[in-house]
Amino acid sequence: MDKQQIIQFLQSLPQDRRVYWRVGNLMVEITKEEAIKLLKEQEEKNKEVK
Amino acid sequence: MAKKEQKPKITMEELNKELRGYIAQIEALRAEIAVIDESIATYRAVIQTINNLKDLGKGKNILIPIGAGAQIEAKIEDPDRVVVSIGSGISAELTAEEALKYIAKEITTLQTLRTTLEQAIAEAYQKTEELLQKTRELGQEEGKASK
Repeated sequence: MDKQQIIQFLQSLPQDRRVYWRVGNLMVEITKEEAIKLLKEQEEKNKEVK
Repeated sequence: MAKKEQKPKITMEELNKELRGYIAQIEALRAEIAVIDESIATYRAVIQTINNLKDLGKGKNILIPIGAGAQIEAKIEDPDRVVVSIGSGISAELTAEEALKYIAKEITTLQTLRTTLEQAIAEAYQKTEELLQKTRELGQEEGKASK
């Protein structure tokens, strides 16, 4: 799944679902909104590199 | 009348180089297929695990491997809550049913990719056969010319 598809998938999930972000070996619990923000930031960075 | 320009003849060295390129391509594609097969096998094992845990129900004690053969005991609070990696370092909590559906979809995607790679291998094989034939023909021509 590309980042846009991941964002859409996250948005399709009910609000009470837990979301985690991998930081090294750890999985940190984050909110769905934080996850979407992170993904958008990653996408922006990728665009800048290109 | 203008003379027709002759196509420059391909040399044995060029043919061999091209042949080696296709063989390397086939090997790389095979390696990719092996990785895909491994992923599919892992996904299938996960399906089995989710189903087994669902059947066992809540409150079962399990051992979680923590490396070097060591394991730690834990209790399954809710086998209907599965956390699945959805890409880009993000994992999401899904119900067991949703997780099974998600994994089945991933397997389908991998199988489609596998079919594409198999087709690419078949095409590369075809090219290899053609080049081998050309190599044989060129070898015969060169043999005749040297006599």
